[in-house]
Amino acid sequence: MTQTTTELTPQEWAEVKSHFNDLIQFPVDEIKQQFNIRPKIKSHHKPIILELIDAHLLGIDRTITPEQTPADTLLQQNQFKAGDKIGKYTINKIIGSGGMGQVYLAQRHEDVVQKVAIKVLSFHGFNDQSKNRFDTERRILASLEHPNIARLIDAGSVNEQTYCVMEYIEGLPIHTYCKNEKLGVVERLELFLGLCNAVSYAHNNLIVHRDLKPSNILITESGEVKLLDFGIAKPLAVLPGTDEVYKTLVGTNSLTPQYAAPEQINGDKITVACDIYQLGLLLFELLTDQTATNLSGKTWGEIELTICEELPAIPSRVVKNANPKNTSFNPKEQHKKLLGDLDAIITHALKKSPKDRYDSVRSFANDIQKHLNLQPIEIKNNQQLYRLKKQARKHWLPISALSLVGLILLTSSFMIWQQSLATEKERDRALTEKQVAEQVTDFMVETFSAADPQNRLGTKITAADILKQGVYQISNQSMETVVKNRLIKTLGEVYVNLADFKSAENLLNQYQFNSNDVDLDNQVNFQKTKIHQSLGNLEIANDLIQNLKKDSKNNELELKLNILEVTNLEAIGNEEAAKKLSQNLLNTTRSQYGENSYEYFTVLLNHANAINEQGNVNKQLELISEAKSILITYFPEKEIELAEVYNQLSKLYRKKSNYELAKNYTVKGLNIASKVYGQNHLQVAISEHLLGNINSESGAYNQALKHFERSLEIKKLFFGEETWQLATLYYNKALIHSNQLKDYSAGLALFEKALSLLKKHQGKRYNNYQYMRIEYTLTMIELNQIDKAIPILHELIDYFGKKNTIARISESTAKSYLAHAFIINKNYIDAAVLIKSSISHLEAGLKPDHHTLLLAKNNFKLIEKKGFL
Amino acid sequence: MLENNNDRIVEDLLEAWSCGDKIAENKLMELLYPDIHKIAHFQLKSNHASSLQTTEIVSEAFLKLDQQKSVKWKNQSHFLAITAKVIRRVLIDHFRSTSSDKRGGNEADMTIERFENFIEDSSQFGIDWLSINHLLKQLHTIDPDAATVLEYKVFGGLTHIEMAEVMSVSESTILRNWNFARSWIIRKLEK
Repeated sequence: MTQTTTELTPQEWAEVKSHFNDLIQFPVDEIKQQFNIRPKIKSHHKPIILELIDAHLLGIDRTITPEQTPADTLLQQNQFKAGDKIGKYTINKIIGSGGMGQVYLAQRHEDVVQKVAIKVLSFHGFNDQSKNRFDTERRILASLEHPNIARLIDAGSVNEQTYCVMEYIEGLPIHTYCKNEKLGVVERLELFLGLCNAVSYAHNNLIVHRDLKPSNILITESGEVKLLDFGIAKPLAVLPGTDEVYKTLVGTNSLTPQYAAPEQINGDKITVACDIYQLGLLLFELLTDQTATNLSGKTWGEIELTICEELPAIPSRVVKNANPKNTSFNPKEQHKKLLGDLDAIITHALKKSPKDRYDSVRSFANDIQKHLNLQPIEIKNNQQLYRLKKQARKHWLPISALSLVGLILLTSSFMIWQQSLATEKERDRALTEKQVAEQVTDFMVETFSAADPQNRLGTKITAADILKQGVYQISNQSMETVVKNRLIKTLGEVYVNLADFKSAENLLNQYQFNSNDVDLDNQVNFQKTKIHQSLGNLEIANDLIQNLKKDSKNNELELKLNILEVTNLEAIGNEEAAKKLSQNLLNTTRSQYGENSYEYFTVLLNHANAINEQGNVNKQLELISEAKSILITYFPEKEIELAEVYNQLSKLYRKKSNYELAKNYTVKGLNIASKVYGQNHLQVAISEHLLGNINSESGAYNQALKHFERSLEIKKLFFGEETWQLATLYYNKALIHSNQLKDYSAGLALFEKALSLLKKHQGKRYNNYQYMRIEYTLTMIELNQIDKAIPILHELIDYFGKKNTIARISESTAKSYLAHAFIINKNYIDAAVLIKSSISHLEAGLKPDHHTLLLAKNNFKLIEKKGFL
Repeated sequence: MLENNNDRIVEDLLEAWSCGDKIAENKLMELLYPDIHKIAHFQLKSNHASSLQTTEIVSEAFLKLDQQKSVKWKNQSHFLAITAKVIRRVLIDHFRSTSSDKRGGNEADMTIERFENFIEDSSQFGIDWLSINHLLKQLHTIDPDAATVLEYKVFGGLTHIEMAEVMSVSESTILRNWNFARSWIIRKLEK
């Protein structure tokens, strides 16, 4: 725009202005005439005045200035004034101008009582967007009929002007009303439920209000809630024939930050969750007399951050610190009323991510109703845990090795609260529990933030370090016994899960038993039992199980105890008793918890393990497949359990020699494990071990050795260098070296390593020790250590013979190896006896290409040739 | 938002300004500028580029100040008026600083149609605020009162009643100024 020279002086302009204003007072068709007869107008002013008049006429022709022109101007410009008629209605006065048009108070011609609000606009001079917006608003309102929504009574158009006739609401904004009337919490909640009704109704009609704020929610004299102004409401789905409407509305955004949802700030999709968030803000304000977020004094960046990232304040804390002068309630009393349920409900509605909030206004309202009915609220357990994990990731912890332990800790302390809500009906108790859970969580979070790698430059912190720090803090911080006990139990559980049984034991020994909380005592004892079993103190474990079973009045604990007993019986070697108990458990759990329950899933898996022997593969596959479908259908979030199921499936397919499926399932399990636990977790080691076995059986020996080696590395980190847990891996490596690669000396060394780790142990491990010695002797024979091998083989035949199993594979294998040793020593007579008594068992129980069977067959032929049979 | 002790000052200054104290006006502008800057900035961010609802800014600024006060504003109209002035300055500063990419970009030249649409609905896209400012300045040299009315209307959405109160004149005088200002600008744009 260029600087133009002023044609006239200000004084001259004043003259022009005066003439202009006088002239435009006349009716439009008289203006020119009046201009011509005016004597005082200076000639050089004339063209300017004419131009101004033209501009004015152009202006009034085009402009109705709906938003910013006040009432008097409107009336001057032939808009409606008192007494004017629109359709069946008579205008009383203008009451406002908002959105797209003016709003008038009016009444039906013959009806003095019923007042209505009429919203008018002329499309003349309006762009398409304005038109569409108005059209949509009309359509939306027309489709809504609800006692808590301002009603659309009529609509029509007169002379290019379209109007909507709406129910006229006289009332106060909801928050003002609550304050003025000094309403109590229950009354406020009831008003709020009325509003929820209206919003829910709109949602059912595919409409999101997305501008729910106190000024749009009026309370009438009779105390009814009325929801106004769907002016910027947006259809959820594109209404028939209104694609354009939808498109234009997406870009129309005139929100006030104080009531904006995060997705309105960051431009994400607007869904019903937006209204749920705004309802959350409103409820916050109604119950605290303060807005949920404080945006004052903030820059745009800070506002954005506050709305999109900062967790909102806890309502009960806000009221606790409120100045009594500014509130319509007593802060202390209000604090007590909000603490717990209402805190949780509001916080849930105010989750940053739309999908983390209540899934509908209905469920939001239901929780409030439950609170009013003094029933436990229903923010679902699983959803909560899932969200808690996500929250923890998003707001507290850097994603790293820390988060694994962090998640376990946070979830378990949260579980305490959840469990107490589920099991305890007394509300007071539940609240105390929640506070304890909160304190535990706070403690955990503090511990973790102190251990944040960013705060300790250069030092790499492991999960173990953090745990240690936690343990250290427990012993050094003065905290209430109840909190301390919770922490000890939780951290102890983590240690058990991490298979660090010594640390778990040390920690759990600090637990102070108290008769007030039998349940927690029992849980600690349960963990202690698990530790004893894992450390091989099977008799102690058995005693503890029996004692706890007597005490237990808790179904969940009882189930856990039964499962533990099955594994304990197996470990002791009493397999029949284990199977019997497991079968019983399967039946009772199915009838007690149902076929789709997580409990039934657990016992299915357990039972599949309990019947683990030759010939049961298909039955096991059936059990585990059933378990898998329960998990995937009903508990998709339980990834760790899914990984376990995959591992079991892999083992079974391996037994069936379906190596491709076996490998697939193992890799699936491995991927979950390393995602959830990190690269060096025990579960990863187990998967690597399995992959080694499968590769070995499918003939990929070098591949197999690599997997075993990787598994060994991880297990050493966990258990230490000289621990029995490594034995099987050494044994498996030995088998490949000796039986496949024919590198007998390498094999022998590995066998001896494995056996040395197992030697001291009894029970199942002693069984393994004997089992491993079978193949060990064959390697000895190959290396010409026959004299050393023969006595061992005698021992083995004796040991396995006493077991009196049906298949007699181990016994027969030992016999065939002893025969082999005798043949080398040219003792054909004894060899023939051994071969004759063993070969049929081997043929029945082993695969045709099994090296033991092949060896036995060869020896059989040899002896036959020599004529000893 | 404003510090609590500033509330008092704002009220005193408004009082002084309503009595014609020019220094008070400058002080008020200084005091209100940061807050209104924030609100306007939010609007600008959330509405993409130049679409902007000046009325929203004013009412929000007002609400925020109002929230912190128990007493009713004595000088509501004056507050709105001074806010309009501040908004003008904020906007012009904003668009001046970004004018390099606005020019030849989204901003179309100010035309009569745009101006008319803008008067109808200030949330319109494509408003060249610098042009508006330029026209206002020109008008000011000719007729300061007419320019002020336009300024209040465009940047603050003041009603004629409110303007009459602030400017201590009758409503019909406001209307005369408004009609003149609008026609003057349309004529200017036609040329």
